[in-house]
Order: sequence, then structure tokens, then C-alpha cells
Amino acid sequence: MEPLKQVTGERVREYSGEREDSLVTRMASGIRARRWTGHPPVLPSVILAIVVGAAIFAPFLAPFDQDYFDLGGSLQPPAWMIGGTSEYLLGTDNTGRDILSRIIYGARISLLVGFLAVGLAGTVGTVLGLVAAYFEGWVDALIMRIVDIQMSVPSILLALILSAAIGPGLATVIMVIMIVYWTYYARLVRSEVLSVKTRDFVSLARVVGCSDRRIVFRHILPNVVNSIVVLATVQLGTVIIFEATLSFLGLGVQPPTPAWGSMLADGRTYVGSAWWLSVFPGLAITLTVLSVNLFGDWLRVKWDPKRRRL
Amino acid sequence: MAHDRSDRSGSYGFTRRSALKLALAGSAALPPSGLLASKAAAAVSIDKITIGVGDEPPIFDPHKAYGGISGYFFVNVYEGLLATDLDNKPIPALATKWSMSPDGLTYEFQLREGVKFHTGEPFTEEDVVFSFRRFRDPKVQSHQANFSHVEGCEAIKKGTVRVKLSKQDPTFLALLANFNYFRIASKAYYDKAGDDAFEKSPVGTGPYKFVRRSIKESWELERFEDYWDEKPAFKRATFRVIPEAVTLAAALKTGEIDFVQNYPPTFVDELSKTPGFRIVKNKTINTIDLRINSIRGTDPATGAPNPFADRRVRMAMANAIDKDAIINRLLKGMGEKVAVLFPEDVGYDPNVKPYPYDLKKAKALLAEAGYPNGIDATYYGLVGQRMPMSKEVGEAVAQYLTAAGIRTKVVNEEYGMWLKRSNSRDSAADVSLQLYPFGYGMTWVGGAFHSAFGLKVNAYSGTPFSWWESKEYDTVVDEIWRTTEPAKVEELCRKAAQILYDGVGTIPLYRVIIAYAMKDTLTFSPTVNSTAVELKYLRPV
Amino acid sequence: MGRVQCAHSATLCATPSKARRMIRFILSRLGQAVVAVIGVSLIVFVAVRASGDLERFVLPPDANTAELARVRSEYGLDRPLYVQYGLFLSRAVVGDFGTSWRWQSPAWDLVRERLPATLELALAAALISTIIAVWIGTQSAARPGSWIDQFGSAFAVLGQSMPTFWVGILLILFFAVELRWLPTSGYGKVSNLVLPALTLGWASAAAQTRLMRSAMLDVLDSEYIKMARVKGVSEFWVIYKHALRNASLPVLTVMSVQWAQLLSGSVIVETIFAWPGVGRTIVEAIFNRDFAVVQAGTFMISVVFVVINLAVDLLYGVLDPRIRLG
Repeated sequence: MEPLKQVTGERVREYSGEREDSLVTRMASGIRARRWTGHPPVLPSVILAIVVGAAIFAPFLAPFDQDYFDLGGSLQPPAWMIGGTSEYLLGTDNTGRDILSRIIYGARISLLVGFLAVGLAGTVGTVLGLVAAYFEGWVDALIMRIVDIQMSVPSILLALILSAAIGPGLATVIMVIMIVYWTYYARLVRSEVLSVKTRDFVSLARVVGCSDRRIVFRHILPNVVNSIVVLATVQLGTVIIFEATLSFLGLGVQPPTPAWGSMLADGRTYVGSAWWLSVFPGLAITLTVLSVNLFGDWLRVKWDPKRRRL
Repeated sequence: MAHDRSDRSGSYGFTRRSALKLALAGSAALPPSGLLASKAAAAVSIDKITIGVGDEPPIFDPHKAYGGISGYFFVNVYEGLLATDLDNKPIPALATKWSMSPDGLTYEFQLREGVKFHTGEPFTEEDVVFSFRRFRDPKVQSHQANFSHVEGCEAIKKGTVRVKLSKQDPTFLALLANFNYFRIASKAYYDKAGDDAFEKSPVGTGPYKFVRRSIKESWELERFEDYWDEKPAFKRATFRVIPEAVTLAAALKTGEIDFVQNYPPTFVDELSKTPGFRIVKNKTINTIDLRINSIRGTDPATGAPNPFADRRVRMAMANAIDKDAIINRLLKGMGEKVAVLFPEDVGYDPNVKPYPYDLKKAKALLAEAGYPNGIDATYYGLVGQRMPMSKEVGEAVAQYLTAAGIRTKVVNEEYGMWLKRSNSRDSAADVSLQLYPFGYGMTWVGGAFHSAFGLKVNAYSGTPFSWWESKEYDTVVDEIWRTTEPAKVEELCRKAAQILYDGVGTIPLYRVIIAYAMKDTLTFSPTVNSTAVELKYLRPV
Repeated sequence: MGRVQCAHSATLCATPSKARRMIRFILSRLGQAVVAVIGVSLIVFVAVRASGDLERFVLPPDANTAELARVRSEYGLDRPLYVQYGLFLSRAVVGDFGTSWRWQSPAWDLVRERLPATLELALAAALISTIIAVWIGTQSAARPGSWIDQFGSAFAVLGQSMPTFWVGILLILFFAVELRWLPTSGYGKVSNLVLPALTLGWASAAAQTRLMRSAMLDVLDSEYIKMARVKGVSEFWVIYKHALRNASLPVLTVMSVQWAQLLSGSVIVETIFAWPGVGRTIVEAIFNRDFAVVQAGTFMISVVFVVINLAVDLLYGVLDPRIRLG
């Protein structure tokens, strides 16, 4: 799934950076009041803290080892249902592994994939976007053509072809995500840098005699960093879902490594009989991604350039 | 800077609480049980039946296609000189009588009279000659290796054909009876309509004729009213393609389809407890086994001698795996234990029992072979939709082996890579791609259209599926292929199977059992080993 | 001041004549589109050949080396890559994308026949997404902080917080199996379209909703709207006539990205709902190493995508006066 929002932000910002003022000031005058909170949303933050905590302290929290299974105890329901025991709180899967433990350890994989993949994609994309905007000319054209080309292929198809070529597994998932998602950063960074470059204060700075580099690092980059962080935050959620989709197609993280996405995808055929195999990982994914999205929304609003204008 | 403090709900407009409430509702919206509870199934009319399938046969041309999935279409539309009965034994079909020359190289077939093709042309010896020639044309059928000995087919006189072989073949009649090979098509139709029509509007002599097809959606058949044999019950049959297992199972529950071929195994348990539906299980030709590379002399990574070339190590592995647990717990009964051959096969010996689960013996054997501290190994598994449960079976096997001292790491590969690795003849060039030491296997000797074929293709030295070598075994198999007398063939097959069993050429895990699911107003008796839906065996109750 | 560069296109903005500018814009975008499509075909061409051996799939698993080599040569795979690509391009120009080994038919025909189904699905999903966005976005903006605002926005974001296949499965289980309101799968009637379009549309509704809401909030606060209210225009018209029109422009700008998302998501939705579209065709072809179909399919999708992009950019240029005036 593409992170629509952040490119939305990019387009809106390029539309509404400085020009937004001209649109509004054409229709009206003055600055309207905006509602705004200073502190982050409570429940998403709590949930994210739990997820990160689970990831870090997994060996202490999880009742069972992530690999341990016993065919004799397969498909046990959660503890509160008939046939469930308190030993396996959320039940067991089809090979007898404890679902709760796998969800706790799965937080590690999801966050690992998330941070690593998004980090790599962000770094590559930011660098290339900066290069494109700084040098302009044919360098810009070349990089943007590559971005255009890549974004003309549905991401899942590209990911699928690459995964089939390299082979399924955790490393492949991370690499594929990096290859698919760098383009969003490149476009965002480039457009931000370009739009800031055209602002009055930049021209003024140039007239005064500031070097390009000073302008980029002192004035442009701080704005851009915020957008990148907002994009990365939201992409964290997108990437978790992307892993689930790859697993659905058969090419995600492989057993015995527990990952929420593959647990959900593999468990879906038990949805009628042993629903706990898929519903709990599904809940984990949904809550985490929702929290990440809400957090990212809050960040975006907090760092909206319209407020920094004065 | 002047900011307006907002009210607490925030400009992004919704509280966390409400959002999360919705999330909880969203992903846990299902009541735990009775989710797929159905209303009573409506009665099925004899006019029309809808069958759901998960795989789509890509090619309808009788001679171009090769492989099991095409059979879904073939079994109802085309016929051959012979056919198989419910126990998979050859019986007359388009040929009523046949004879074999004493040297076993020539067969004569007397053809059935009064048979018509779907387009009305009469079936004659010309059609047989044409069909044989076309099927043997490498430009039409690319895989000729298994019939290269079928040299020619000619019409002797009206209603009789003669087939020449270049060497003896004890399996020839079984080959002709199998729904995959040598299907009879109409020469007159080909002359009139051409190659394209064979694919777009195929014509055969079978109980159903082709009506229309929508690729990726469905294909439709209609009962052939001039069929020479007993007519089947349903007038029209629509096969709908539904690739996703959950959707396929759901479509049966809602009544959108009446019958499901290869019902997803994870839904079987639950459906058998649901009123209004019936499950019919059938044993198939697939044996899931553990393929062990006993050909290599050394370990490709370390250069040390290959432990798995030692028969005792392989026997230890065979004793270390609890097949009953895998079948009953993991597969929920959708599997059957196998020793070598299937009960329906020529040369089956009921005294040869599947390798028993004996952990102590396994460890003792390992120690005896010189590995008291165990061995480190890699298992190459298969993932993807092709074989359900392949991932979990691999994990279970790895766990059992590790418990016995063979510390197994699992590496799962996608089908393309698995194909490369599983071919013992091809991967010899690139050592890193060779299957070592063992991995997931999908076919074994049992269940081939004839035991002799299975014994040859899967375990004879030098064949792509074979990962062991035994001169003794090869000699016996060679002899089978020089014999045509049925009793002798059976005795030799039994002997070869025994050698294979004693030598632990591979370790069969289970024979795949599939389920057909249907409304309980239907009944179905499949041919053993079949996975297709032969409409002539599908009847209303 | 020097040259001013428009941030959204590399075209210079300093051309005198409006019409000439428009034409230059179209031509340059067309040129970019052609480059993009060819680039896609090259990447896919190379990647798909790296993904596995076609001949192993054409022949049964027990084929010997000689047979494998023969089939390989038959499909031209033993020639150098640049030769293969050259041949591919020269044939693609006349519409020949090769033959699908699996279906034994021309790959282009196979893909072309599936395109209407995918477009139908994507359009329906875009429609649903827009309806959700307009309805929830405007209601939320009109009553910020209210119950409707909170739940509406949460509902929109939820669609993006679950994997598409999971949403599809849940919808099938609830609306088809449990309630029997709609069919589980298939193609042909409007009722077949509802669940797939809902699944796909819900996923892309989140961004549109958020954007619509934020744009509406901005506009509703403007002096122009205050003036309209003072004049006595009814609230309904204030929102739906004046505010919505002005808020639509930013929403339009995301359409091209939204289409990428829709085409991508359709791959999954088509598989779940047995919808006979291009996405599913390509996925199955990838797994079967059916190179011709993968190439034909991705080519078609990339063409659709760049055409839509071009149209949106043109529309954007037409609607936004500032772009026109530079």
C-alpha cells in the first residue's frame, strides 16, 4: 500500500507553501485561527510504547520461546474459551506454538523491518532528492525520471518480481521495501527544497551574499527534516502492512521467524475454525499502524509550515 | 508568536479513544464460532451445477497440455483408447479389444463403433492416427521423453489401428488409459478449423462438450446427448475459478457454488460438522517425502564425507519422524502413511510397513554410523500456494530430526528455485544449487499410472528425481521394462520396491488426501488417485 | 531574480505565450511519459529474467538438460540480454509482446481482455473513496471536534491500517457469508462489484478524507465564506457550493498518486474476490515465470498510469490559475 498521505502533503505543501497564502489572500485577508494541541495523542503513544517495550523486552515477557512448538497441542483456543488453558493465553497455532509469545516476538520483527527498511529508504531517497534539487539540470532530470519510472509500476508487482528473483525471507523483505519506497522521499525532499529555494527570504539571502550551501543547511533543511520525519513515521505503518501483503502472496518472512504479517496471512485459512491464529496478529497490526498513523498526523499538524510563517 | 490554543479534541479532529474503539471493532468483528455457519443448502437442480476450483487449467488443447491441472478439463471432454475404472485399472473406452504381439513391440486396437465427436463427425481410425501423430510432435507437445518409444500408429483396416513401439513397455496400456496422454481428437475438425480452434473451441468424444470459456473466470460444459456410454446426470456444468482458499470455502457456504474440487484442508474439519454439506475424501497420487541426497560423496561446503550416503543415517532419519503426529495433528487426518507403493499399485506388498517412529533406534543408528554427537544439516523447503502445509510440515520434520541429533536448519524456497534444486541431473553443474543434504519432495513411486513408471522415474540412477543409486535396484527395474507378462511384472515391481525400502532411497512422509466438498444433495465417487471432477460420477442424491 | 522553476514540473515558467506554453508542457510531459514507460519495460524485462527459468515451468519437473536447453532456445532466452531486449522493443512497437507459454496465446490479447475489469474496479473504488472523502471530510470540517468528526476520521484511517487482503476477507465473511447480502466473488453484476470496490476504496479513502477535511477547514475559515454567511446564504450552499469547489483543487492533485495506489491494491483485491483483472493476471504470471504476460501486463499498467498522470497534470494546469500565469 502506498503512503498516500505524505505525497499528499508534498503536493499540498508545494501548492500551499507560499502560494497557499496567495490563494487565500485572494479570497480573503488575514490569518484564520487554527485549532492546535501542543501534546501528542495519548492512546496512540501508549500503544506504541507498549509495542516498543514488547520488542525490547520480548525474552522476558514472552512465556514461551518463539520457536517452541508441540504438535500435540496444536490449535488450542484462547484461555477464556472451552478447551483453552491458562498456559497458552491466546491459544496455539497449527503447529502448537504459543500465539502470545509469537505476537510479542513479532513486535521485534515488525519494528526491525519498519525502522530498518524505512531508514534505508529514507536515507537513499533524501540524499538523492537533495542532490536533484541542489544541482538541478540534467542530474535533477535523470533522478526524477528514475523516480517516475519506478512509480509507474505498482509497488507490489515490483516487490513480487524482486522477491521471486532473490527468494523469500526477512532480508529480502527489507531490501525490497527499500527499493520500492525511496522514491517518495526523493520526490518530497526535492520539491520541498525547490519550493523553499524560490521563497523571498531565500532570494534575499542570496542578494545579501549567503552561499547556496548555507541556505540549504540553515534554512531549507530544517523544514525538510520535519516532512521527512512525518513521512517516515507514517511509512512505518505502511511497511508493516506491506510485509503482510508479501506474506499473503507467499513471499514474506519465513518460519520460524514470527512476524505479524505472516502470522495473519498464514492464519487466514483458519479464520472459520481457529480464528485466534489470524485475529490477534491482525489486531496487533491494526492497532500499531493506526497509532502510528495518528501519531504521524499529529506530527504533521504540529509542524505545518503555515504556523511557522510568522 | 500568537497561537490560538485549541480545545482538547485537536484539529486533526478525532480522539484516540474513538479511533481505537473503531479499530477494535474492525479487526475483532467476528464472533468466534459459527462464523461460517450456513443456512440450509438449497436443493440442486439436475439442469445446472456450479463447481468451484482453485486452479485453472491453462490449455484446453488435448495435445499441447501436459500435467495434472489440465486434467480438470480433459476428464470430461476427451477420451482415449482406454480409460480407467474407479480402481484405476485400464478398461476399454474408444478401443473395445486389443492384442499385443509376442515380442511386445506391436499393439493392435479394435475401435468402438458408433462413436461421435461433439461436432457430429464420426470417430474413425483416421482420428486415432492423427491424434497419435500430433501428440508425438515435439512442436505441439514439448515433453516427449516418456513416449519416445512410441514410434508410430497406422490404420490397418477400417476400425483397427496398429501401434509400434521401439522397445517393450509393460506400462503401455496404463499409459493409454491415463487421462493425460494420447487423447483422441477429430482430424476432420482440425482440417476444417485449425490449430486455434483446438484451443478456443475444443472438441472430443467425452460425455461433456465445451460451451464457452472466460479466462480467469470460468468455463462451461454441456452434456453431450450423443455420447456412446451412459449419460451423466447434469445437463450443464459451470466451473468457476476462485484462487483464494477462504473465498472458495465461503462461496460454498453461501450456496453460490454447489461443489468444490480440492476443498482447502483447513476448512474440512469445520465443514464436516456443518449440516447441509458433505465431504468426500480421496487419496491422490502425490506423496510428500523427504528427498535425501545420497549421491554426493562429500559435503559441498566442508568436503567431509557425506553422512547421508550412509544407509544407517537415512534409516535413523526415517525412524526419527513421527508421521502419525504430522498426519493427525498437523494435517488433521488429510494424509495417509506410505511405505513405498500404494495399495492400488502393481506390486504392492502389504507386509512392507511404513518406517516406524522409534527415537531410541534413530539415535542408536546415528551413533553406529559414526555420528554420536549428531550432524548439522539444512532442509530445503517449499513455500507458496502450490502445496498447502508445506511450510509447517518442514518445520515439524526439522524439529523431529533435531530431537534425534540431526540439527536441522530450515531454508524455504519459492517454487522456481525449488524446481532447480530438486532436479538431480540439472543442478549438478552448479554445486551451490544442488540439493544438499535434504529437502521437500512432492512425488514418489506410488501413484504413477503404473508402478513400473514410478519406480523408474523416481529412483533409477541418473533420473532427475532420483537422489540415490543402487545397481541392484537398477537391474531389477531394467528387467521390468523388458517384461510384458503381467504376473512377472508384478513380482519384479514388488522386488524393486523392497530394495528401495530397505535401502531408504527416500523417506515418504504421507500420501496427500484431498477433500471434495458439496451440498448434501449431491454425491460423488471419485476415481482413486484423481483430483479432478469427473462429472459422470457426480450425481444428485 | 533569474529563472523561477515551478516546483511540480521541470518546465520553465517564463514563456510568453499561454498557448505555446501549454503545448510545450504537453509535449514535454508526453516525452517524460514515453521515457517512463520504456524505462519500466526495461526494468521488468531484466528483473523477470532474473527471477527464474521459464523453461523449468514449461516442462514438467523431470525434464532433462537437453529438453530444458531446447525450450530455452525456443523462447530466445539463450541470446544476450541486449539482443533479447532489442527484439522485444521492436516487436512491442507493433503490438507483439510474445506468446504466453502457459496459455499458448498472444500475451497482449490476454492482458488487453482483462484491462476493462481492472479499470472498472479502480473507477468504482475511486468513486467510493471520493464519496467517503467528501461526505466525511465536509462533515468533519463543518463540525470540527464533534462526534462525527472523530468517528468519521477514524473510520477513514482504519481502511489504511489493515492489510487489504484482510479487509477483503472480513468483508466477505460479514456481508456475504453472515448476512448473505452480497456474493463472495465473481464478475458480471453490480453486486459483484460492491465488496471489491469497497475494499479497495476504503484503503485510499484515508488520505483523500484527510486532505478534503483540511482543505475545507481552510476554506471555511476564509473571509469569502464569512461574507457569504453574512449575506445570508444557507449553510448547505456555503458548504457544498462555495467551500467544496475551492477545496477540490488540492484533492485533485493527489489523484495521480491515488491511482498508483488503486492499481497496486487491485492486485490483491482481484485475487481475493476472483476478479478477472490485469493485476491478478500479472501476479499469476510472475509465479509461473510467464515472461511475456508479465511484460505485457506491466507495460499496459504503466501506460494507463502515465496517461492518468498526464490527464491530471493537464487538469491541474487548467484549473489552477497560478500555474497558467506562472
